[in-house]
Amino acid sequence: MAGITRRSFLKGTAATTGALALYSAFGGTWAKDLLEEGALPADNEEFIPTTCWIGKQDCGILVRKVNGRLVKFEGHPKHPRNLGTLCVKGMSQLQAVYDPYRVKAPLRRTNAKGQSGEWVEISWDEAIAEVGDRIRDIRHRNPKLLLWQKGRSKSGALYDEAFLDASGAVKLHHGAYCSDAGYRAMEYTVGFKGVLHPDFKHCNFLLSWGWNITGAGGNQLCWITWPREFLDARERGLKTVIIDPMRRQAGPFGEKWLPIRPGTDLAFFNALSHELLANGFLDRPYLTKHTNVVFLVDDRGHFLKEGEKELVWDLKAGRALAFDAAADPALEGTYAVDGKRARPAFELLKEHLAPYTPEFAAGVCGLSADEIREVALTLGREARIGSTLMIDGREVPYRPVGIMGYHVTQQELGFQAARAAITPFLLLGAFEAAGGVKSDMARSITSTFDSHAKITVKDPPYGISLGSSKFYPLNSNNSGVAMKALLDPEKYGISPIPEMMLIHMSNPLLSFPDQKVFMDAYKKLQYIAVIDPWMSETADYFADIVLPAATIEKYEGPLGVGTQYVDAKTLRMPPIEPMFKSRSEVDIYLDLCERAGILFGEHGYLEAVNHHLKLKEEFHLPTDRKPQVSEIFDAWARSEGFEGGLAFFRNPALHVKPKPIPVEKLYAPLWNPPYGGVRHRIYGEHLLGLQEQMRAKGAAEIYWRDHTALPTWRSLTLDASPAQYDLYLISFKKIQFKQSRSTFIPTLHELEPEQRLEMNPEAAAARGISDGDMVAVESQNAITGETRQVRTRVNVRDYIRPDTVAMSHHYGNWVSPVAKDVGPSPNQLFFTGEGYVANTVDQSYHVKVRVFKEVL
Amino acid sequence: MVRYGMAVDLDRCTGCTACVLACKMENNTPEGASWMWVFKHESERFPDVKIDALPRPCMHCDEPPCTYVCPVGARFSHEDGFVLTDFERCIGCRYCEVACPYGVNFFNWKRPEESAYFDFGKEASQLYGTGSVSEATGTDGLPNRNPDHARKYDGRLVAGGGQFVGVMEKCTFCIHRVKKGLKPSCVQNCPMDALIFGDLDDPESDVSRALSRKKAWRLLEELGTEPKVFYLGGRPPGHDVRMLNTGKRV
Repeated sequence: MAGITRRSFLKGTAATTGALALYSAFGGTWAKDLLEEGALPADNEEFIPTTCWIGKQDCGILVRKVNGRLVKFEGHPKHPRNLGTLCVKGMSQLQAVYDPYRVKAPLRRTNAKGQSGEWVEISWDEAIAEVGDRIRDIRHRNPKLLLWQKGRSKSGALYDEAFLDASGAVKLHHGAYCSDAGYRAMEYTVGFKGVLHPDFKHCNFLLSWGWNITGAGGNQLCWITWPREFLDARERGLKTVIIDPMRRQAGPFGEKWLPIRPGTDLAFFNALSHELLANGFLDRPYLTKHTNVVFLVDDRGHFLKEGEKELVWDLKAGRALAFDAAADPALEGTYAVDGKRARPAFELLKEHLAPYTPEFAAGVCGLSADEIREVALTLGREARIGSTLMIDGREVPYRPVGIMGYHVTQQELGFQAARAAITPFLLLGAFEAAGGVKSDMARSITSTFDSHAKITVKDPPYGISLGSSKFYPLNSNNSGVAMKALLDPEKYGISPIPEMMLIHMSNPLLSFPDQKVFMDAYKKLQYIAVIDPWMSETADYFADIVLPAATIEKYEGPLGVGTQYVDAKTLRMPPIEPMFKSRSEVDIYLDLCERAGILFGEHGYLEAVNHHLKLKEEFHLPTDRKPQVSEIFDAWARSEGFEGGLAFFRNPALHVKPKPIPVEKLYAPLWNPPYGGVRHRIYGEHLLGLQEQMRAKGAAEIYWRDHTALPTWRSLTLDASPAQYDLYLISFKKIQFKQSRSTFIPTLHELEPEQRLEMNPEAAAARGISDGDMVAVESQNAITGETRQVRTRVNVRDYIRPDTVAMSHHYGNWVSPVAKDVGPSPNQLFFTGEGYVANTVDQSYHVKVRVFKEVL
Repeated sequence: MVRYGMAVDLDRCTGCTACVLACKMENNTPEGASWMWVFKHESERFPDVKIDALPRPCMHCDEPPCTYVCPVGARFSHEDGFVLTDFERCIGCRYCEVACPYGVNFFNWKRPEESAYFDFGKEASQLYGTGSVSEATGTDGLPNRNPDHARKYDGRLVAGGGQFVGVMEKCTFCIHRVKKGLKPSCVQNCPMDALIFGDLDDPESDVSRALSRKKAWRLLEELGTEPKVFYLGGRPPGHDVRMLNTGKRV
């Protein structure tokens, strides 16, 4: 019992000795005027609906406001995502509103950049004039000289879309640090914009691939919705296998833990596919009708075509026909077409997967062959190939096996690993089946399904993100690589070279690897303006000017707030006026655009707002007059048909569609045409085509080597680090600090007070390290030989593999009195650039490190 | 008369600590004091390691040792089952803290204006532009102070935290909410419905029904304190568990 009654969190205060303070010491209490029973000022109490600002999934909030002051945030009971509850961040964000350390007024730097800022307060007029004039001047020379970097989007139509349209700025974002490898893989493979998650309502067997069940993470939604769906499914009988080097994130849940070696997931999933093939667990009708593995492939790996149409071997006609003309396409066999050998892509898949035995994967992944085989066979059996389920009177293919995987796609082979992860489910026909695998909540085919297939590799000059370049043609926009390009424009063929940057609610110095690259690159930019409620580390070191944004006390949206089973829409509504001299970002953009001369008229911001908010013409904002922010959202609400316009969102505050998403929309096999008429690209012919184009343009092997038609295992860059770097470092998210805007909230720091290096007892003992020791962690870049070092304390825990150590993604701050001095960020140890960024320019969060005890 | 109690369904607890902050924001507890806490611990060895979470509010015991040692009758059992501190009687002797085997008592060492997370006055606000929270909200103290704490309930001043220096505070089962017909803040906010509250004497209450569905256990049951917080599922932590969170900086 000692463990549980230990009041360690109390000791800090209890250790202080002091005279007993007596009742008479009551003087000066906040409550002294209200001690009468029944004196509650109930008539001044209001509950104001709004939407959470601090997290990712835009939960509904009821703000309790008494006498003009915000007293508490509670969950909006009718909100489909959070059902009347809030996570730790949502609950504590009231501390963000009343945080005295917020940036309270526009600030101009008075000292040199590259060090902690010194500031002088200026008026909004001065600030808008300074930044607006600079935007105007730079646009006259070339809009592409302006970079725009934003954190997680909260009003995409008004920020990302309208401001970029009007200004012509180049956008940098966080996707390549988030889950974009998975996005690109699913967009290309199945035409869905998203990453993999299960149909929890009907799923019986789940692979939880690096999914942080108990703290943050999940496709699209942040935290409350997925764990609820998971627990409900679990009570229904769902069984879960956790695939993760560290069990901590899964807590007590999961029947089986496979502590996989970091970065080896592609080999694992290929072994699952291997076993499914070997045991005949195949949904042949689906594979034939709805995937591209029936297409005939020549000996170069390309599809045979007749005009634009791929050929298949029609068993009935006994010859090759266009895929839509064949009655009985062959899945297997070798055929002669025009005297040349041709095989269905399925034959290449079988050949490709043949070496990926469970024994092979076991060696790569640090698991046993038996446990890999068992997972594969359970998947095969539980998939119930051929079965259907009646849902609301409709017969739906039933494959109750799923996978949840999201941020884990950010690894060296991420794009191809995500393709490998969906492949077993495609073999089983489980994609979009009842109980099977889904990808985001989109219910239409994304335009990128086609556009990714049409990418052609161009000659320089390239834009700073290197899209369509010979380096990273299929591109997720990696800010770190963009900064490397800024530092060496000749190597990457960049033109023009950006000069100015607008950073909106993003803290790249801490959030993205790697810090040194950002530090060096930002020195090359002539002018940086930051829009943020707090003094971020990025602003502290590199902002010329800081424009204070409001937190939740502003209009934002529109926000889609449905789940995978129900649709809903809402807005963020200000429960009070912006604190201090802060302003809503929409206000800031309106003023900046006005000053820069890009607000009014054709191609102006207002016209772009009309377009991106999809306002019906009768509700268009006039493009010759600056509107109030509330007018913009009122126009949107009226255009959408909400009675009373903006007033609708004061009460009832959100619109939830009365009926759940109908079954014929929920499951793509029931769409007309099924799956949106696309064939799932198990065989990635275009990827092979990209490789050929990249090689033709002279790209080095490190850029093209993963552009293969089928996901192919190779040893990882980090494994080339010298032997002394004998541990894999991974990072993980904590719900408390997911989204850097929660970094500044003191109660969250109380819950997760400091950085710790998570380490297995075996690894710790071998290095003479005990729980709580201060150690040095040194990473090594296997390509450049650079090393980086940080110091942190150790958690010795059994929930992690012995060859792996982990640090939480957060910490490392040096500005906020709330957040500083609590240990380093792992982003000081990871590397960006070649080897650690691959495929679709996605960032790996894996590196080899050595850990040693400090000798004091 | 009712007898309020709580059930904690550990099969649904993810250890997310939403209850910890729901309590904190509702009760305005001082820095460092968490009346509700979630202990997280691991047991057994890699790769068979087990991880468990254990939310721990005040047990609101039917035989509360804390009330028996209080020399002034400040710590008392309310007729509806709450175990509470009367702030007007408490002399801050801390006997209750010593007597309680569950570690749920928190002594207020500091005056309210010193025990909040921020200094809302001018001084702390000189960073990054002029202006202060106090000025903006027209209050000297905690701007989000819950006014319900200033009321007396059944004639006693018992609700909320951080109002008075030199008194002992702990979980009140949110008496100020329950008296309004609301659930305690932690229960209302549990995203997984792992916390269940109600009248233990009413067989139709949520908590009674939850207790009839699963086998329940209580913390340190052998001490005879008769806790009114019941755990469903999971297992009592053994002596060999390794704590995962301490909630304090080293």
